[in-house]
Amino acid sequence: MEATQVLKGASVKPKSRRAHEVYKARWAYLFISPFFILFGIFGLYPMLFSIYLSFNDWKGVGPMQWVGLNNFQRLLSDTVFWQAIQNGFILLLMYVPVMLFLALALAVILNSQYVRGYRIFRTLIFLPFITNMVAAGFAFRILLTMNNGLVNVALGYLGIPPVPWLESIWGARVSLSLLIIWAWLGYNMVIMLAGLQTIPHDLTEAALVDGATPVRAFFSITIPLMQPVILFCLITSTIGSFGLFAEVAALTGGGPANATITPLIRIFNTAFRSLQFGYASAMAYVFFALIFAVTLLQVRFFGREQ
Amino acid sequence: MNRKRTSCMAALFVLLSLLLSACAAPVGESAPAPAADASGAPSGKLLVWMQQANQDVFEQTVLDGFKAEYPDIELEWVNYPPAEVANQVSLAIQGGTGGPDLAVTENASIARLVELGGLTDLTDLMQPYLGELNAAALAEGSKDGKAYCAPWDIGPVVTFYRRDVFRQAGLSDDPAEVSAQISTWDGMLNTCKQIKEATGLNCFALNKANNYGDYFFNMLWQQGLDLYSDDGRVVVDSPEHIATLEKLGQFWQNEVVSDELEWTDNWYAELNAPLDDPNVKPVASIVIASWMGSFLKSWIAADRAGDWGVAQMPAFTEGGVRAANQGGSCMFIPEASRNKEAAWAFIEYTLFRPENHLKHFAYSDYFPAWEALYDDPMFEEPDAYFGGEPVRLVYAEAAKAIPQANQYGPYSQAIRGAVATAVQKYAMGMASAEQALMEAANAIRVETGLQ
Amino acid sequence: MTNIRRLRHFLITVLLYAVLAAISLFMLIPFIWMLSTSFKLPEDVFGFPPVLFSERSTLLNYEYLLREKNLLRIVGNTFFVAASATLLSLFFCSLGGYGFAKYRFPGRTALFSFLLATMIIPSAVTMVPNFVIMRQFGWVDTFWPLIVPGAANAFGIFFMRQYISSISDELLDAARIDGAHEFGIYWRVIVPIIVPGLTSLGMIFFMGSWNNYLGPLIFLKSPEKFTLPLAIFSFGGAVGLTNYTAQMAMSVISLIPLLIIFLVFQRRFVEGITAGAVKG
Repeated sequence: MEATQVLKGASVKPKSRRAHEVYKARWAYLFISPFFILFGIFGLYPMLFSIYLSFNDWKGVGPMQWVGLNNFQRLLSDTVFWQAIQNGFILLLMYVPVMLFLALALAVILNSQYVRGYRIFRTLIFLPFITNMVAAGFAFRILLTMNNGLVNVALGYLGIPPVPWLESIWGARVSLSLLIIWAWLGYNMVIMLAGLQTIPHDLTEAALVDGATPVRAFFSITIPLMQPVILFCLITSTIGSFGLFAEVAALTGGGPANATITPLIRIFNTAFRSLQFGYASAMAYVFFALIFAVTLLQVRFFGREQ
Repeated sequence: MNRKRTSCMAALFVLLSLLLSACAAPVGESAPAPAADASGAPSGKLLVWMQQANQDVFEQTVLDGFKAEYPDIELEWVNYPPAEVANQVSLAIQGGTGGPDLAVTENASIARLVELGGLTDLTDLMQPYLGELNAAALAEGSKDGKAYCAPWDIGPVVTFYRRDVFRQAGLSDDPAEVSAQISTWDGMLNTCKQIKEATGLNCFALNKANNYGDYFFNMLWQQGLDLYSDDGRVVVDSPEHIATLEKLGQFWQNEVVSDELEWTDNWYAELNAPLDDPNVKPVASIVIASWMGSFLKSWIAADRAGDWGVAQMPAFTEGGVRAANQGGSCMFIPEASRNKEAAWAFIEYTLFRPENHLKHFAYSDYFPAWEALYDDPMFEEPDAYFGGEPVRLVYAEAAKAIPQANQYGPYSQAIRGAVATAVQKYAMGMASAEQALMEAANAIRVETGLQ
Repeated sequence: MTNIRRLRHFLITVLLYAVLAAISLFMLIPFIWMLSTSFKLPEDVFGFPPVLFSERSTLLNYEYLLREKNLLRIVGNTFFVAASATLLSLFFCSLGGYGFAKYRFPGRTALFSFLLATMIIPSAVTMVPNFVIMRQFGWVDTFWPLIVPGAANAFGIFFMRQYISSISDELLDAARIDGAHEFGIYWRVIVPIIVPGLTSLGMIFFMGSWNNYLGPLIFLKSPEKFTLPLAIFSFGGAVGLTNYTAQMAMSVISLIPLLIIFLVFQRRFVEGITAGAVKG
């Protein structure tokens, strides 16, 4: 093969040189090929297939029926789907600020010289992250049971009447937020810690020597320098809260009155419970477009000074 | 040599991904012909999917006999929660693999499976019994004149009530008098108020936030009200439906019900609590299908033998129908079943032999869908758990009076889910009955494509 | 003056410890309650007053899991899926990372950008069609769908590329001069150096697979193929099956292996998680 290239020589030089480069790097192509092969089969092809599906009615077996844009039209008046999207936003607003603030504050505390036992606290706070969410969701359900659940009994000792954690719209949302904060606080904290460690120590120290209070130093030095890390956490949390599944299924089942149903659950149910593969595909695409837009907005809005 | 080997290895590994995915030939077992030994008796493995409670019923009654008659059939059980059986079967049908050889599902979800296709046509096998089976139950599992599901039981709705609570409230605990006392839902409400006043106890459990809609569905069914009409229209927001929901709402407004959710530990506790329990307040009654009898007896309220009685369900208006259907189940054989002969042998043995069917009915209170059994003298036998009351007569009376109503059908899951959400919204004061049901109707139209 | 500063310092310290203690408690309670419930009898789960352990505590739930719920099989399934998914992914990701880090070839930047871009695709979009594809392959109700599609994933390749970039080219050139083959270089030179990175990444993969609920929910049908999260979920549901005590016992068991791995390799694990976020 090299011989033929030499023979062809100067006449097709640019092309053959490129071919030669490709040939020389054949091992590299081989090494990176598994990703592209697998993505082709289990990523790209499904995505294209899904587009096709979204214009069809299909129960998953039997014949497909072309329905054009009908599925997307239906989606516009699908109150449950929009409720699910809305729930995603509500949850996002409920837990993300609390969680990110707590994560950053904890990271700063653990990074400061005030406390000992850095490793123990970090381990404890991180521990929930390795728990599977089905187990955690049911554990929370037991804890938050209205009558004689541990949390309400404890509140009872403080003279507070039983809280309908899982029996009211906002109770269920707060419960879900608690579960998510419980699970993800450690993860975000660890990332913030790593971010903090990239900030030169002398920078804050200098500010403190100049007479700035620690709080002021936190807001005027730490937060701006941490902005990229915070943005990362914000984006992962956003994508995460629209894609909640096991947490919701185990803790609230999406109720009460669909108050905690998430888009992923709605899509799953539409496909695998109501057997509407086409409609579910249309939903998935609209959902994709929405989170894509939200993520872009966040990058624009919070990442602009980067 | 070495170099060549490594390069081969590299290529091999990298191509692994291709190979793994390229062996696109389905690896599902090539379905062997239904096993039968020389004598023709069915044999081999039979994978059965049903809820735990159903398996218990058979184990406690007829299973030993079945094993004696078919020693070569090897039963293997898988339990799912009741509503989950149909979900898992439909996934197995869609997935083309992994399904059961025989399964029991609720009547509410069978039409969806029939619609999906992939069940064995049982019409010929059931031919001798077709005329004697409950028509509504049979129709639920049939399509185009073919029956795909062998009806096991139906769910005639009755009122289970606590004799001790009624007595303590100064009311009669005699079944006939209780039936008269609660002849309508208005009568029920008054009774509830009396009980609340006299004992401080709640009348029945009616959860708000996660309500499954069962009381509402039962009240609709007894009036013969559909969820969808024969010509495919969604009718859950008709004035009658709205009035029915508002009637149910009076029980919340008068604060005579407990807020425990069905099928949770605290709900079991209040059904099982003695009158003097220091921590759990017992409830006075529960309006539910007859199969609840077996659950009360065997595990929910096993300690309360003699304390429960059975009366008719309240009518919607004076003189109205005092019966509805809630649940019931049937047995089906997926087309992909690996042992259809053994599966049918199981159905035939458990459902279509009078002595066997009556035997597990006596244990389970799963009211037979096979009407030929209704004349059996065992219906008049007293039931010790229910204070010696011949409860099967109460069930039978209700069973015969169940009106026809389109409440299940292929879209049952979507429809009932949306209606339950409407009940929740109304119960929590988020919407009026009319508004909540209109929203539900629209959600159903979008979801199902019905008009 | 110094006294006041000292007092202030002391107060701040106390306050910070209080915050840390409160949050640690919040983190621990669900675990404690999970463990406590797993030793209870069903009728004591919502007993009043709640107790952690009592003379009624029992191992019955664990026995029940072993006897009735095929516990060893389920743990074995979960381990098999997680371990094979992890090993396969580590191989493909490190190989791909090596390809991107140490070779110059036409289209490298474009291909790598493409790879990064695929990370934004939510699983929701491919969930439905993937089910159909797996069915065509005859892979429904097998472990393949949980092992193969993620075997060469963008995050892993990205992670390994970063890691391998820091290895000096001279090392590779020296090996080449010695006549080593390209794959031999990967296998004999690169892999031994990147073991810490592989450990970090491997733990993330293992945890992700071990805890995965949605994948097994879609693809696994037969209970003898269930993995732990699926089995834990199957206790929930209607009519008497909300067996919280056995469910919590299985939850405790699902936690133990990850807990051990995490406590032993904590540093590597945290490195793996933070690498993508902070460097990227």
